[in-house]
Order: sequence, then C-alpha cells, then structure tokens
Amino acid sequence: MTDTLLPDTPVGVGAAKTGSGPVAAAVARAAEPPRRRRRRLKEIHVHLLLLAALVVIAVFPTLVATHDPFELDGIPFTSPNGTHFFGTDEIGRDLYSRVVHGLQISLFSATLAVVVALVLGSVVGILSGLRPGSWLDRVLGVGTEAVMAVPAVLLALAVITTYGRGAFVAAIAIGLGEATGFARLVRGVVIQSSTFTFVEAARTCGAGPIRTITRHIVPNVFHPVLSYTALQFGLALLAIGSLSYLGFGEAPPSPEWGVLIAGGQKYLAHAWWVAIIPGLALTAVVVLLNRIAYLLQEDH
Amino acid sequence: MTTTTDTTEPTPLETPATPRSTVVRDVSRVVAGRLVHAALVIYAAYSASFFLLFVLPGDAVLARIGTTDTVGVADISDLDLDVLRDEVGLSDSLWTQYWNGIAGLFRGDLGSSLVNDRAVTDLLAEALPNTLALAGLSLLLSVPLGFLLALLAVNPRSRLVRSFAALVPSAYVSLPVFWIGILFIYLFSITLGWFPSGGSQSASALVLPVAVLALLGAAQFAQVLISSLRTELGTTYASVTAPAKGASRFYTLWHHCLRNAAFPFLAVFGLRVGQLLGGTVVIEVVFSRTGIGRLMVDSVKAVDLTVVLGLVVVLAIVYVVVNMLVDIGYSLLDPRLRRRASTTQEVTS
Repeated sequence: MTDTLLPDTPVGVGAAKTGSGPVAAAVARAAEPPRRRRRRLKEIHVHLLLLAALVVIAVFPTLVATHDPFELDGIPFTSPNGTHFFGTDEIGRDLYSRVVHGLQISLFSATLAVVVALVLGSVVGILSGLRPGSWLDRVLGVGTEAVMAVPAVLLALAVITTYGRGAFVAAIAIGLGEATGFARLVRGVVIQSSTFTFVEAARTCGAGPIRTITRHIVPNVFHPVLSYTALQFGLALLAIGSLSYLGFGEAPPSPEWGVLIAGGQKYLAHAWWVAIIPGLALTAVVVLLNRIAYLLQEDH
Repeated sequence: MTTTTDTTEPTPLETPATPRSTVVRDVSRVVAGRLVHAALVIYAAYSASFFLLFVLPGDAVLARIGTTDTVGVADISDLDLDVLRDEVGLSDSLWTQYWNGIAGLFRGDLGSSLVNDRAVTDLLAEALPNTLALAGLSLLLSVPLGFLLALLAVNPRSRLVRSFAALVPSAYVSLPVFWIGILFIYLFSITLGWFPSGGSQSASALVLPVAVLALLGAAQFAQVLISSLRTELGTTYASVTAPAKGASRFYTLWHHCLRNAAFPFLAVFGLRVGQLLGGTVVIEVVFSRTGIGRLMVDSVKAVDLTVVLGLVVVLAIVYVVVNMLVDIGYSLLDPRLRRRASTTQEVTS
C-alpha cells in the first residue's frame, strides 16, 4: 500500500509527513473504543472553537482591543500591567492592541498563501496523478522538484525581488513554495484511490475522468488534504512572519507580528516584552493549527 | 568498476542470491537515472528563476545607480541608461541573456553583480565558509540529538516521561525560528551573559545560532523517528519475538528497530538540508552574521538580479545533490528499491 502512496522517488514531503498513509491510520482506528473516540471528537471541537474565536477577532479586532494600535497613549516602555496588558513599545503604543490588530494581517495573508498552494497543488497533483508515468506526469514532477529544490524563504525573496515588498506578494510567494507539498500529496492519494474497487466500477459504468474525480476521488482524498492544509497553514504563518521580520512583508508602522518582533529586537536589553510577546502570540496560533492538523489526521 | 567474481553460494531459498555484479549494475543504473533527473531539475530551477527574475515590470539597470525607483534619476538622461544597459548586458534580447546564462552555468560562471560588478562566484566564495560552518555544525549535532530525543520518547517505562519527550519536538517545530533566536539572545546573552549576541568573528558567537538550528533539526528528525519507531515496536518481531528470546526493550530498540526506522529518517534528512539553508538565511540576520543569508537579503533589497539568481541556483544544486546521494543511499540499503528502479527503467526505455 505504501508503495502506491509514495511518489516514484522515495524522497518527498508527502512521503515524509503522511508516510504511513491515511488508510493505515483508518484501519488502526477501526478498533478504537467509543469512549476514547468521543473524547477525541470533543477535543477537536474545542480546538475548532478556539480557531473560530481567532477568526472573529481577526475580522473585528476592535471587539477585544483596548487602545488604538497607532495612537501614542502611554509612557514608552511601560512593562505589562493592568491598563497595558502587554506593556507599551518604544513610542508608547499599546502592545496588546497592536498584537490583536496584527492577527488580522497574519491570518489573512496565511489564508491567501494556503489557498494559492491548495489550488495550484491540487491542479498539478490531479493532472499528474491521473496517468502516473505519462510525459505530463514527468514534466510536472521535474517542475515540482525544481521548486522544492529552492528553499521556501529564497523562493519568496526571489518573487519579492521582482514584484516588490508587501504582505500580498509575500503571501503569494509562500503559497507558490507550499504548492509543491500539496502537489505531491494529491498525486499520491489520487493514484492510490484510483486503485479502489468503486472507482474502477465507476469507470466500468462509463464515468469519464472528470466525473470520476469529482464524484468518487475528491470525497476520498478530502480528509488527508484537509489535515495537511491545517499543517501548511501554520507553516505559512511562520514563513510570512520570517519574511516580514527580514523586512520584506508589511512596512514598519504596521502591527504585523514579524514587524513587531523585528522592531522590538533593538530594545531587547531593557524591554523584553516588545519582541517576546508578539512571538508568543505567533507560537500560540501555530501550535493551535498544528494540533488541529494532528487531530484531523487521527480522526480519519 | 572492478570486475567481481561470483562467490555467492547457491542458497536453498527460492529467491536466487543476487551476485555482486548485478548489485553493481543495478546501483549504477540508479545512479545514472538520478544524474539525468538531477540535471533536469537544476535546469528547470535555473530557467524558472531566470524568467521569474528577468521578465520584470521594473528596470534592473536602476540597481546599478543604487535606486529602485525613478525619483532620483531625473538628471540622468535616457542615453546614459542605455549605455549602462549595454555595459551590463541588459540590452540584449531576453533569449540571448538566457542562453549566455546557461552557457555560463556550464563554465561555472554566474555572471557579475549588477551593483558593483564583482563576480557572483567571488561573492559566494566569500559568504559560503561562514554559512557552511553554521549549517554543517548544526546538522552534525542535530542527528545524534534527534536520535536521543526519539529514544527518550519511546524507551522509558513511564508513560508520562514518554509522552512528555514526544511533546518536546512537536512543540519546538511550531516556534518561529527568528523568535527562538531572539529568545536565546535574551536568555543566554543579555540575562546570563554567557555568549555574545551576534557577530561572526569569534567561535563563541557560533554557539547560539548553531544551538537554534541544531535543536530545530533534532526536533524534526525526532518527530519522524518517534512515529517510525512506534510502528516498529508494534510489529511481531519487536513485540513478541524479541521479548520471547529475553531481549530487553532497549536492546530490541537499539539492535532491531533503529535500522528499520532509519529509512523515513533518511528521507527527512535530505529535505532538512534544503530547509536548513533557508533557516540559516533568517538566523544569520537575527545574529547579524555575515554569510549567504546576509548576501541574499542585501541583494534582494538592492534588486541585484544576477546575485539573487546565482544564489538560487547554487542552493538548488546543493539540495539536488544531497537528495541524489540520499536516493542512492536508499538503493544501496534496500534491494527492493534497486530492483524496482531498474525494472521501471527497462519498461520506459
């Protein structure tokens, strides 16, 4: 089974991350006692609720923000206290409100990156998975590996060199790099699921390739791809953070988390919170997303 | 290749013993296949990044005069810009530039910087030693550390210890690399004063960046090793046969399971090299070290297309070569892959 799931070359993101295969996990889960299953489902729901809360905060940051993120309404470098939960930065802006407003930029650019990666990766993966070994599969395989060969940060930097800095460009660049993983994964599951009996049956009944994909294969590959998406969402957040830390994402007055961390690093010696707290926020969101990815993978 | 005499005795097993000459032939076939593939991948990476970088809406020649917009160039007439373009070869047609670049790649010549005319290979040679020291040391440390973490997460009898040790690597990979760097600077440099917070002169400045990257690599290796070791421990040979003959849990892990668990580890090792090179870019900026990362950031800021292209191509070559070696290592270790590779080649050729 793993043989069909693995790409031709034994090295691959899909192979490394989901190597043992969703089917193997499903077989292992079949014998799970109902009480444990219920507990795990509850855990998923709690995590999804947390994520929903984050999305609400991202859309309406003023709901929880206590100050204006750009207003200078405090003494510079006040340490965290009752009025300024996370303290203030070098010119007296409220760090808590800035972090809350920064969530919007981070979540939205990560969403853009993941959507680009998902769409591009699925198209490439399905095209190459339909007829494994065909010339199209080979060309797309070499192309995928060529993109993988360039480290994600460098690829994004190359795109930024051409199209200029900005959160939008950075997100699309990150999505481009992440598309390779999706392409590998989707190719693997498409090849695997086209060996299922019901897919062969559908073909025998005269279903064309498009119908076979949309009605029979996609519902089956949905789950592993969903879990992988959650994982890549976290990685996209980290990558976008790194890019804006390097100075290629949002420009400084913006409360994007990478920008906040880069700005705070200069004052690390006497005001640790300016750089450390936005990083904690970023870590918390990524941990949440990774946990969701893990739970979804287990759930299948 | 030396000719080998067939010394293997006929075995009573059904499968015929593979003579060494076949092994050599199979492996060299794998090597040849991988070489062609690697060359194709590098060519594709070069072409893609060339067209990405050079078919651009802006004007690359502006990098030459140290600006990226037209605000400061009002006093320079179009004629001067054309002369400049001629000078750096940007006025040739795109295809001429492309073919010149490919030809240069074969000669080991990556062109020269648009900003200061220095050869890209010289710039790289200057930046590489620092980066290689950082990346190499952290990779070297992360392998034993990863194995140690994985054994800690699988071997102890206490369930609490095991689940805690399994949690550490998955938590660490969720942390932003640049933020860990800053955290380490705050803890070990500002608060405790043990190591310098940056720079690339002294050896002690290497400690913190190496620690950040080595831990990250170790965490990734441990994650893969833990899941494959758990699978191995569930198999019959480890859960029934080994205890039945009196082997301890650690003996079973060390002598039986680790070897089987090493295959997914190899795959991740190849991928890790690529990520490590990306990670060093960020870490070098955090710790203000000189190296590939600094060169990359500076040339992106200056829109120095040739240097960016050169860096992308060199790092792609490193990645491809490492992964090719990993693949060949696979086929040396696992005869099944070797045979499959040779049969697929026969089918296609």
